Amino acid sequence: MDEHTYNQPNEDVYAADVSDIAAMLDAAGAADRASPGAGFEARIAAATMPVVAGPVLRLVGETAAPTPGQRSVSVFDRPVRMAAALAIGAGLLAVWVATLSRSGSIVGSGSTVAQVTTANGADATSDSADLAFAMAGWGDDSTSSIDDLKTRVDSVRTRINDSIDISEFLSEEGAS
Amino acid sequence: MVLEHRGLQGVDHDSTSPIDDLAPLLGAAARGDNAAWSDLVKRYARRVYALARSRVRNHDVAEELTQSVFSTVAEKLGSGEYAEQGKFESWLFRVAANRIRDYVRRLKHRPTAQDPDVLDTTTSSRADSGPDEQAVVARVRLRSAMEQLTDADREIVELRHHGGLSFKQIADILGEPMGTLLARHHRALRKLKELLEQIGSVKDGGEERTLSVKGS
Repeated sequence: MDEHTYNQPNEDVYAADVSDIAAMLDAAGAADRASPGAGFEARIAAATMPVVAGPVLRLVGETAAPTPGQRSVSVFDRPVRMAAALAIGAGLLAVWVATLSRSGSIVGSGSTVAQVTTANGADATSDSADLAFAMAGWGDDSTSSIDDLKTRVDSVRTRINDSIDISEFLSEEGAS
Repeated sequence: MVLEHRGLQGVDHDSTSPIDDLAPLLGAAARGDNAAWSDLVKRYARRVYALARSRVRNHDVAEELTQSVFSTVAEKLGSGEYAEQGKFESWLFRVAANRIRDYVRRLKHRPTAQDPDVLDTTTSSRADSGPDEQAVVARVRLRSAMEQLTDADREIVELRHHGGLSFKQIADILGEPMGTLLARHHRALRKLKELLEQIGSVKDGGEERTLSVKGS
């Protein structure tokens, strides 16, 4: 049942003590309704027409534009976001696997990393062992190069620790 | 109680087509039919405008509010958020009432200009003024009196006399029982009458005089 009417039975009956005021209010309302000049409706219609015409131009599956203050939540947002997160995760995993595979740290199809031990067979818990582990990761599994590196580091440390006599240094510089 | 029959003067009945064609009109407008949308705007824009104008007393603001209301309606129709169930008018004016209420709430912190006829509340009726001028004076006083109603009572009065809604529609919009609404409307009109009598007494130098509408 449509109720688009304001002239229902007894709607326009007012008590006698306020009927004159009701008439004044009706007149004021009529004056306000009449106050916009010609073209008022055309202006309103023209200004709001594109909003109505919007759905006709929409692509299939596209959702309505959110109203101001309304969150833009699409039914497609969640799957797309999940797929993007999975793709990023898969990419990172592939890079990691490729890196490890190149270093030869992965044995067969498993994920066992080569056990690194020191020369005396202890577990890799010291700094040297960490270094050995790192070197192993880059494909150098010979302990000779590690020993050589350690020797060179010790040599540098010794030279640094031995304080240089500045006067001797300057005299040497002056002589040269 | 003595009852007196009064028609809703000034409501442009000619602008409304038979009510039965509203559903197809809404459907066509929702599908982007420009002619249907123009027809819909033509039916209701002035009533929405009058509701806004009565409250804000500024033509430009009232037109902007009307446009804003119809933008919302268009958007909801286009997106299918409104399903026609014979309550389009109630829905439309609920949107309008909420929009006007929000504007007035913000306006209290940021006063804006009002149209001159409202500011000229000191206008007095003169003996040599014509019927039209007296009607304008009467309306100015009426609006001045309406300013003194509570927002809730004023909203009922404006929905009824400016929006041209039935009491049943107003009850739907405001979520109040019909009996309560009728009582509040009657009380608001009595209050207005008292205020007008006071204003009339002051304007006419203390002489008791009840205003009446002439020439409108």
